[in-house]
Amino acid sequence: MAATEFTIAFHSSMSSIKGLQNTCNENEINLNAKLKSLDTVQKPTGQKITEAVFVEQDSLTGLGNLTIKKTVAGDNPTFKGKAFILTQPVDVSVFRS
Amino acid sequence: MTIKKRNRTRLFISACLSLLICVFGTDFAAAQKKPTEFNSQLDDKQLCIDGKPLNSTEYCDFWRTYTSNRIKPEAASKALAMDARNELIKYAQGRIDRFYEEYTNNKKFNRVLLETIFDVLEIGAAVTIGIVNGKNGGARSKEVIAAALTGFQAARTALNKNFNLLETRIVINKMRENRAQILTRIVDNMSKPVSDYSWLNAKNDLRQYLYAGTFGNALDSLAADTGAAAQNAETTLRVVSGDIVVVPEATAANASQAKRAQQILVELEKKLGDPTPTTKDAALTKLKSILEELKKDPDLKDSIVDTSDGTAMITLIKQVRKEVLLKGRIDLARKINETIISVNTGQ
Repeated sequence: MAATEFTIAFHSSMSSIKGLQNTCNENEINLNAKLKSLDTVQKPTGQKITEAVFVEQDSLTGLGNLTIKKTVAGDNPTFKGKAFILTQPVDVSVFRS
Repeated sequence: MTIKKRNRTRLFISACLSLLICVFGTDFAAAQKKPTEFNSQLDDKQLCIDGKPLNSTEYCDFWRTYTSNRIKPEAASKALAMDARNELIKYAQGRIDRFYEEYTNNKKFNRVLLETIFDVLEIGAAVTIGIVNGKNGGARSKEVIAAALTGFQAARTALNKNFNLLETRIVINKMRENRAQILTRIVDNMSKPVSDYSWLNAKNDLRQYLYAGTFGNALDSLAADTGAAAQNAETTLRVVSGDIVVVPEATAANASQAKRAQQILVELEKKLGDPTPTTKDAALTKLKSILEELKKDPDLKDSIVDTSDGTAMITLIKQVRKEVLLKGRIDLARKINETIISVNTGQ
């Protein structure tokens, strides 16, 4: 059976990549789920948001240990995504330690 | 003989430089002056007094009619003011349209003139190279003139590259588009009473209409359009469901608190499996206390069900925290984490 996925969103006014990292880590724990993807999307109202998809985990361990950085050529992250930082789309790389 | 050739070369170069100074140093067609109504630091009241050029024009006649009627309560006066405002708009629009025609024609004329001058300079230089004798000082003269010719050709290339005919047409089309948009707005407002659309409102719109007919404004507008288009292309966004929960940004303290709460739950889970009864019981007691504390919150009490199984208690805490978050209640999720920590530390 496929694992349950949760989708939540973050405001496009996210202040920094560090703020995005804190938000993802907090929500991994609160949802007991691992972050799977980040993407920039738009609500039907026109509001631009960062969509975060999480996959539910059975175990309590290994959550909330994400490091998020601006994507640079040659890095090898767990996955690459896109997020609004200060309303501007930014390519980000997500690493799990 | 050598001196004469040098003089001839110098004369040619001087002529060329003079022509270049004329080309780049001045506008051949005199610059068009903006309509006085918009080119002055003076307001309408100051423009319509004795001694000022507009005093005896229709513009001031309409303006006086407008100002003397606009605040009168009678319907007839209001209609008169509205009519005068609309006449002022038409008057100013005519002046701006005339300015626009002269301005764009002037730009086209200057460009054609520049092209002609470069033609003359290039032909003249090529012919002079042919005339100059190649012997002795003549060889040097030929080199100098050939270098000047290369310079003219490079200048023409730069002119064409930076401002060719197609680009001029694009800019003029942008000016026409901007002008049409503003004029549509003005015309739409002409049916409004002066209380909703005063002459000063109209004059501000007309000033925009005037500036929309200038190259600088059109170039700015084009740059803005292409910038916006590029940004839209970069962020072509997938439209998602409207009911997606938007969670606020977490601080480092929020993330740290969640992590600490998680560690406590992991430790309690381990202790529940401990063979030592006292360790297991202590973990069970803490979990019960956490749930008791959470029950005190009116928003959480209905979600907390009684159970004596420690593993079920952990599952319940995780379940409630997830559910409140997915309902957009990050405050309650944080309250749960705070409670786990405070109960664990005995505060």
